[in-house]
Amino acid sequence: MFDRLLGLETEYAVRYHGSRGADRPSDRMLFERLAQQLSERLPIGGADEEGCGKRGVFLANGAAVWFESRRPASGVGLIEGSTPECRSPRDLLAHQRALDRLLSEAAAEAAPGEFFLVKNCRDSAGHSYGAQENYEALLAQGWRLKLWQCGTTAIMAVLALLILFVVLPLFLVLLLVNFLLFAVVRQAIRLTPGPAYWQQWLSDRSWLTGHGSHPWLPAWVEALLEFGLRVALIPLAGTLSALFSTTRMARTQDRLLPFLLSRMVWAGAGWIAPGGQFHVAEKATSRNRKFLHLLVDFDRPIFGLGQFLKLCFFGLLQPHLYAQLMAERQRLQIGIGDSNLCEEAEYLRIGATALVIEAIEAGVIDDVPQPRRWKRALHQISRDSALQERIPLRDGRALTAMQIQRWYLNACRRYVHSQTAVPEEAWDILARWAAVLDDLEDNPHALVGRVDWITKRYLLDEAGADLPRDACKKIDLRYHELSSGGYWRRLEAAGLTHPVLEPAEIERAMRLAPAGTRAAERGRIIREFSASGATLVVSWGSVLVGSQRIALPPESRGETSETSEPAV
Amino acid sequence: MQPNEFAVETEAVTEVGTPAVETVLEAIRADAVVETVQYLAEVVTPLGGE
Repeated sequence: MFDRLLGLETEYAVRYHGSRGADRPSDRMLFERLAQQLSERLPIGGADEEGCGKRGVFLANGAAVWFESRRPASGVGLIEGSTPECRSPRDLLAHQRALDRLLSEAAAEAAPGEFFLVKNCRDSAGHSYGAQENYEALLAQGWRLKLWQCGTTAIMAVLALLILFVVLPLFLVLLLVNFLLFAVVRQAIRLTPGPAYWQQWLSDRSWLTGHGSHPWLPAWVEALLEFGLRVALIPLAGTLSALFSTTRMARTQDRLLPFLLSRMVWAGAGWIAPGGQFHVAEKATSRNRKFLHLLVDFDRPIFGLGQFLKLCFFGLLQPHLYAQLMAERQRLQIGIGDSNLCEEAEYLRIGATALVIEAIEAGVIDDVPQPRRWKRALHQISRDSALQERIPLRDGRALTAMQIQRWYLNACRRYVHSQTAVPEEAWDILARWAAVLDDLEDNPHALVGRVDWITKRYLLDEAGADLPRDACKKIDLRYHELSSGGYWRRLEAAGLTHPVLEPAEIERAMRLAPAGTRAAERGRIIREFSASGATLVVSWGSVLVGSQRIALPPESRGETSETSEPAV
Repeated sequence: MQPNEFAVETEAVTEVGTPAVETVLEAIRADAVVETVQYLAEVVTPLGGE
């Protein structure tokens, strides 16, 4: 049980408060300063930008931090933290909390102005971002796996042709247009750039990665290229989605869906919608697709398939990524959860979801209470802080979100009780899950400091009563700010929150990767070679030390070896 | 023997409504009305994410 890899990706919004009149550094520049500050706290290695597709650094504790932007040359983006690959919900919680702390401490010292990270999922204008959860799960076996392997290989072949005959020519044309435009502009203002400048223009890779101070491809070209690529990929993404629908993982997702729609009653972070209505979850109403991911800007699926498209793309050049795409166990990515500040909510979000996936794969959860219209159900549950709305199901019944949660809880209980070797953590998760549902029904006040939307609602009722709407919106946002001024942090300092972890667990996770994982080996290599001055280029599966590539061992299920403390 | 599934201890260190909490709520209420518009403008991510 819990013998699967787990991981979280969290996008943090950037808040920068500079002195009056001073220019605001771009988000990309703030990321560079953040990375510099991180390197003063623990050993780090630069990420393999071609393989990972974005600028980032790997940390000695197994985590990674990225500048996440659809258009890096624009300089606008988010800070993304990825936890290391973990093997238990508690480990993952510790590493998420360690990442929150490392990043907030580094941000506090990273800029001349005030630089804060906001761990939420909606900005003041309603744009959506935030948490992604990853659970290792069975993709397919037998003929289904063969079909997947043949289909994705065919997609890769088409992708290669597309790049050679569409993307590359388009890129060259845009480059030529841009070059001519630039030359005309330069001539018009009578400036003659020197050879070094031209060299940087023609050889610098910064337009792709956002790294470096002079992106040589203007943002307009980048935006046009990005749009063109996305449109060109739509048929391939559609084909991949159709192929995916034949897999076991698609079946797992189908049975998981009602659980995910209803878990916001305890996992939601609370949100004041543009109309002023309070929702129990931030991200829920931004989801517009269930499975299909066409990679266009307005696409917000519950289950991401983007990871498979990325593997198709980068697997063209890197054999180990191709091998990863062919494997029978893959990453099941969930994009509907909110980022949590309350430890218990975050712990349950990971733990209960892992337990449900486990029970589904074991065949215990089959005939689930499937909503008749999932998107309508999502909106109903999100705006119902009284938890009374009944959701029409396909079988003609109507259940509340609480009843759907009870259904899954009881199914997981039956599953856990039927097992012979049950880890202590499974009992803990079941107990907390049941206790939270009981309190939601009988004593919601007991959940202040344990469930985010209840805590935020309490804050709005007690501190925000009679305040203007803008002030309430500030409470909604600043609740999530990772600084001593952040409202959740203030409640934490007052002792109103309920920690799940011991402080020592977080401190350890700030230094060390989880035991028995590939991340532990990656962290060891980073720690060992970063001090030697060797250039490190790190990816999830390998580390390039100088010119020598060290392949990290594949993850083997059931390993429990301990990671030793570093000597220094 | 199976562990007691209902033995989770979730007592708060500080209870809702205590003077320490009231002080924090007062401070948050006071902060929420300071430079509000500027704060909202500072937390904008034009391209979104995911």
